[in-house]
Amino acid sequence: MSRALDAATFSGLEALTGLGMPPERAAAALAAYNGVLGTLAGLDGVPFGDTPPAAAFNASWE
Amino acid sequence: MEPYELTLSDAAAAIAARELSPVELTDSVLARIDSVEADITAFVTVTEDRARAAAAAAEAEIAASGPRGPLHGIPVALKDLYDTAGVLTTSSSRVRADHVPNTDSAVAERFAAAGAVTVGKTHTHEFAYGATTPTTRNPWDTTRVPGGSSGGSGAAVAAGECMVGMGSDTGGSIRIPAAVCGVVGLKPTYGRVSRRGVASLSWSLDHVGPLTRTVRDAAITLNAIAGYDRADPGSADVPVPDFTALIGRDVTGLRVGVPTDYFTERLQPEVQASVAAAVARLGELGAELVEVEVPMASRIGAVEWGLMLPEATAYHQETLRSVPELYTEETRALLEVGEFVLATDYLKAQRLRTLVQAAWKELFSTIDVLAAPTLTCTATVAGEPEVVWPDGVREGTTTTYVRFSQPANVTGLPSITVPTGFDSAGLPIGMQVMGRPFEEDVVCGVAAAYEAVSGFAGQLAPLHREMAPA
Repeated sequence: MSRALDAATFSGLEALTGLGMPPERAAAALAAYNGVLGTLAGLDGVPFGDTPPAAAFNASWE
Repeated sequence: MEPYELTLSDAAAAIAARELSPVELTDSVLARIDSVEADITAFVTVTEDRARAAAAAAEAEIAASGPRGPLHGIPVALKDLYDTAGVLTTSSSRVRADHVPNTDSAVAERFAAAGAVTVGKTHTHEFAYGATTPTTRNPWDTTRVPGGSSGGSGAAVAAGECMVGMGSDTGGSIRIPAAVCGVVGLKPTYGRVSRRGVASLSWSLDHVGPLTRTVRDAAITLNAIAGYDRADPGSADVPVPDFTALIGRDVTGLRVGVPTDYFTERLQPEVQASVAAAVARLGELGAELVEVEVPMASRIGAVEWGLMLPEATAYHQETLRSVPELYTEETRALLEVGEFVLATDYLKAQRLRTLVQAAWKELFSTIDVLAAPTLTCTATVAGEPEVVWPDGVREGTTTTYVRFSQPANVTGLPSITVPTGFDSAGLPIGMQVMGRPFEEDVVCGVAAAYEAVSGFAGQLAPLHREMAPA
């Protein structure tokens, strides 16, 4: 399933970020973001099961 | 031959034999910088006075007690992402135009301990977020890009302005400039070299490593900088071997994986042919060539961008709000987009990375190394925003440059690029050799075996001839 945002929805998200984009920057960012969503579609449709994330945290102090 | 034309290994041998002094070598390199920088602009800062002082100190110490090792008295340069105490460190950005760190990065510390002579700080694509380095030009053709993001180091090494240029590599930023500038670039295994004091692009994908004129020089440099550092959360506490140990060894029977997909799609025919010929030479040297399919190939780009976009934005979150106008438009736009990547997408990228790692581990049960083109194409004309393929597909310049290099970032595997020849325009082509985790000695051994018969070992860009007085 491909995802894309419209300008109104993107405007709401942009307000959450606090970036304060003027309309022309928001329009450009929306276009770029929808392009990125196309790339990130490669994350979809994978049977992850219990696969853990490749993140790391070391609790030792030394 | 002028001293600046020597490779690291040859210069170190001459210094050890008392045939060349560090002062003489550094003077030659600084003169070379002075003569070519107007055309290349590889450096943000040339630390001439510091370099002369370090060279004089090295000369005195070597005269008294011999060299500490092969880097003693050798001119090196650091990408301007690396902190250097008391020296401007800008990340090639107006955001850090006045940034002078108080402490050295881990690599700068290691170089100082080895007695290397730092001649300056090289340009990066702003904060390493791109693969063209617009400030800098390619010494093989100054109308073209030097690659990136470590484009200053690539250009400087290729032009004889230093014997080691340090880079960083998040999607290919050591290997891309090395390949398009006709030199060697070694991205070690994730965690092999400390990133402490190096401005981050993406914590989970960043690697640091050297660009040099030969494989041996890269291995020598890695010997000096590898090792565990608790201050880098990604640092790996693993043994550090001699990375030169397998250079010069026979590759007979070694299994070289030859991809039948991914690395065969949308690339310049001259690049494909050059690398195919290089792989065939490995076969002639006795290696067993094994055709393989690249596992989870269609997913790799999504993992790379799914991790990098939000991590880069997180790193810059404060300055993106306080001084957004100081970023270049290209960097600012990428950082803004990263604000909108879902946390669940970021975690999916991390989970998918786990699956990609497992699939590549399985791949390496049938091969010892994987050999493939480093890039889809040679150096593009500066300012060209995209590449147009024969099927009509338009691909952004940075996007196409990282396409073949990013698998080694997602998997964290070591990868070295070595020159294989030139296209019909005289632009360099590179082949990358990837290996198992922490087997940099193996990838160096295979790359060196090819390099020894390639005819391209230690080459310098021809700028010195073009600029010679009539």
